[in-house]
Amino acid sequence: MITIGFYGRLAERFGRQVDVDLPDGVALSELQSYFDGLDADKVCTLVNDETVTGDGWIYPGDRVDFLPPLSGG
Amino acid sequence: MRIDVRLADTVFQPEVELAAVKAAGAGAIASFAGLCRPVSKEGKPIDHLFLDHHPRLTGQGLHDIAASAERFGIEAVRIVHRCGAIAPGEAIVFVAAAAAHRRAAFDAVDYLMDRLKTDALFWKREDGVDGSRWIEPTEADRADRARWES
Repeated sequence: MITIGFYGRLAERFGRQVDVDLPDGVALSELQSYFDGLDADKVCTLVNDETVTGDGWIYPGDRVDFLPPLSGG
Repeated sequence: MRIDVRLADTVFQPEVELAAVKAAGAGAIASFAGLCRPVSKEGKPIDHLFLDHHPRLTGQGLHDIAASAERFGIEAVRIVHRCGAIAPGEAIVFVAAAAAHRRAAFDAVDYLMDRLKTDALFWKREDGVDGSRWIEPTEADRADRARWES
């Protein structure tokens, strides 16, 4: 299971959390493509709470968070 | 430097937070409280402001921002930030800095608020009778933040 978290306007669109069952894992870019309208250029992507840039392989048990632009405090 | 940071999901009182600033050797304490306005920038009434946050990283980010105020040589910093639904008139954020002299305390609070406005991990939505609108930092917010980069 891969857990995906969304925040702000993305949470309204896709839900707060989505669990996807992909036993062999998946490329981050492919995972992003599952969500129509999720623009990789406009989100900050975290894998297991670490910021990532570019593509990479996501394994079962990982958590991916997609953060829209911050509003600030 | 003493650092006290709290992410609050319920109402807090800025005057209580000010009284809690601990700085035995300080000669100055400066503070700022930001409140939820009753109207949007367009003048439309707001029912409440909703601040979404990351369950782990928002609190860590607030702490990192607080720690970065050490550059001013202050003795203590306190940040309390709301999350969730905030009604007009309620406090959104409280920042205080204690220092030996007033200039460092003033500057630290000014700096911390500029950092919070652009770098804190929040997603802000105004909910009103005319619907909801997500807010993003303005160019003015970014310009305020850039003042401290030199």
